[in-house]
Amino acid sequence: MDFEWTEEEIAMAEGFTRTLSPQLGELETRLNSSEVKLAREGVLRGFGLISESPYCSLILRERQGPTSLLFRERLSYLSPRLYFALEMGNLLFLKIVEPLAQFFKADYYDTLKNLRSVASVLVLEAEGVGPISFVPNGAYADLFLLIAPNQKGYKASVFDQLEIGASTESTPMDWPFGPIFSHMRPKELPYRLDHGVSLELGTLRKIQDQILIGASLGSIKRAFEEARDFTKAKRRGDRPLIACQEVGFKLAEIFTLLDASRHLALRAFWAEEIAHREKDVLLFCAKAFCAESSERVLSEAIQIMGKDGFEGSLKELYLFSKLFGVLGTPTERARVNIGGLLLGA
Amino acid sequence: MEFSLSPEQMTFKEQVIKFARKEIVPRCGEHDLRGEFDFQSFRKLGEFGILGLHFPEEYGGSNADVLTTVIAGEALGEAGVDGGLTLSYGAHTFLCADTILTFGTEEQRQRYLPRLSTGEWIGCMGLTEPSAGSDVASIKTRATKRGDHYVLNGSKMFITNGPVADVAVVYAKTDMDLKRSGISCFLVEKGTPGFSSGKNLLKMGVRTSCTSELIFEDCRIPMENRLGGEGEGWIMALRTVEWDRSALLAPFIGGMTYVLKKCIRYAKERYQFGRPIGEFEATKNKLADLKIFIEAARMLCYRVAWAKDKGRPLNHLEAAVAKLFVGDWSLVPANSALLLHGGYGYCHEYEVERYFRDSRLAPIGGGTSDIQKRIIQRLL
Repeated sequence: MDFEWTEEEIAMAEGFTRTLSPQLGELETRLNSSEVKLAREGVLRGFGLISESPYCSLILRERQGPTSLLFRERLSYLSPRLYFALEMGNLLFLKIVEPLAQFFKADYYDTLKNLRSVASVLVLEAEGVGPISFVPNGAYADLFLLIAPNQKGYKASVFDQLEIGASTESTPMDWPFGPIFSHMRPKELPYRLDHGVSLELGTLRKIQDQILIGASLGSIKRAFEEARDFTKAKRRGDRPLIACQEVGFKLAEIFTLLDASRHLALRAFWAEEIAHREKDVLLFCAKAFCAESSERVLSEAIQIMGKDGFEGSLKELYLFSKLFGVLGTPTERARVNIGGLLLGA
Repeated sequence: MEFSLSPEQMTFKEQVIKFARKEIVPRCGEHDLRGEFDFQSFRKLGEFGILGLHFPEEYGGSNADVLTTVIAGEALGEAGVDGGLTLSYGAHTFLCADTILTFGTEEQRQRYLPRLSTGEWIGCMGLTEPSAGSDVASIKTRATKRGDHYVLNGSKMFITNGPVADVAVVYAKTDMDLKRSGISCFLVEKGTPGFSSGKNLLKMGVRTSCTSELIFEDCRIPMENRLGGEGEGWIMALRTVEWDRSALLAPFIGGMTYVLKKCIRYAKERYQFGRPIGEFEATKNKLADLKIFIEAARMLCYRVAWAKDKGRPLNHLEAAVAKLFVGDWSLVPANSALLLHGGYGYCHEYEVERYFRDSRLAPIGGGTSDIQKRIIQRLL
């Protein structure tokens, strides 16, 4: 048993943070812009920085281990928007397409993998036409993976911007999710899907859950650190706010949730890497617990920081944290799945 | 990062579970009902080698590492051993015997450890007082030096194993003007004139452990029974805390695994509305409460053990986090287990009510949840 990162892992992760941190201010301005063109520039600039790190190769491994979580927590901590653009866009696309690569055109593959273009994944959960929300990079992606049901189950097929653009309306979602996430309303479904490749929806959900676990951990860490630093700087009477018992105790609970979530997630990723017999149930445990903890921690951190918390960056993270329990396998579904797996169903 | 147990650890865990199921578990329910300490089971733990597992062989131990010791405690809980007996084992081994192992002279080790390892003698630790619980530095028990001995006066409260202990590790002030640095530690044997224990306290849970007051009235302690140097008691007490918040938590986490297995079995066998209740989503949700808690708590507990094995001194933050999580976050799953069993859960026969009662101690014993928060607050 070993709870420690290797020196090499720490060096890689710190190098990653060093590369990204100085650029974050400018990147965030673009990623948060209402102009789709600027947002796309921001995403590609961020991708360019990330492409120099081992991030993608760790995530794209068939069996991801705890190390991938180390990087995911860091990126989601630094920039949730860039994290979602990368993970829910390019990397989700590649992870789904990779095992099926022989069925798809390969010419786009390298540019996506090297993060020189932007991808999106659309999931239509029921047959028929309807709006799809939370489409990552939907307003500006170069390539789209459309996953939709037909009579034989779910099919996945790739479309370029022109193909999908001709048949859909795309609108960036409201702050804080837009422009990284879009609403898309297909006018007519591009039913080349019939010739697409069959896909288990569970495979998609599992990858999304892994992404959302990383996002949850980054947001918990961010909330904890912002609240801690605030309470050390802010004074009530002659002492820092953190010395007030009610505030300090809340921070202690937040830290405990960060530590517990992180270790449960690490165990789930470790189980996945070694194909442990409980890997599925552990992933659902981590998804449910991390997402619930994230929402709770953000709420408490804002409470600690008062109006300052509500006006600052935690406000947008608070809304994002709610999303972590909704996307992928929703928390309630994850709990039911845990129970089902324990019962051998 | 690597979280697997070694093949030896897994085999040992299975052995402990098998032993406990055969030798101890059948007696737990009856003793819990009567609120009695089970001497026979305690000795069986000694015979199996659990009481001195991490002690060197020359003192009757097996030289096990901390993680293996934690796993043994977890296995006892997982087998279905009640929280009272595992608490007695914890107080005996970690709060009493380990303090002698770590801070005792060779003579002290030779005198006490072989007897404590086998369970021939039972140990306890006296720190808490009627008016000094979380505020340890305010203890009032006094040890006055007179020539070649000390005289102890005062009392200790809520002492696990107090009524049955053959030897007590007792903390007392040798300098009343000092706070923490005025605390020293002494070994007090049963039968020492001036030393007595109060009546066994009737408790809500962990009823097979006996708990009482320890009373010292002009109790004369020879100089050679001082453990460590004068004023070193505080450091010694702090060190036991790591055990309190790792090995002592492990049976509790194992116990939750035992309860989860009972819940799974019940959810499969209990039919309502024409189908097993396990088919209802609300039941699955309760099972999830237990599973999530167990997996997260186990990791935090193992980490403290791992840090101790790495020789990292006084892992207060990790230990406090583990204790706080187990204490505060266990209440929902323990309640879920009871509710899942409905009316049967409220009855003694189904054991979950015993577990529910036992689990109430988790946020109180070994440092309350508020104290853990205070420690974490300071270290942040």
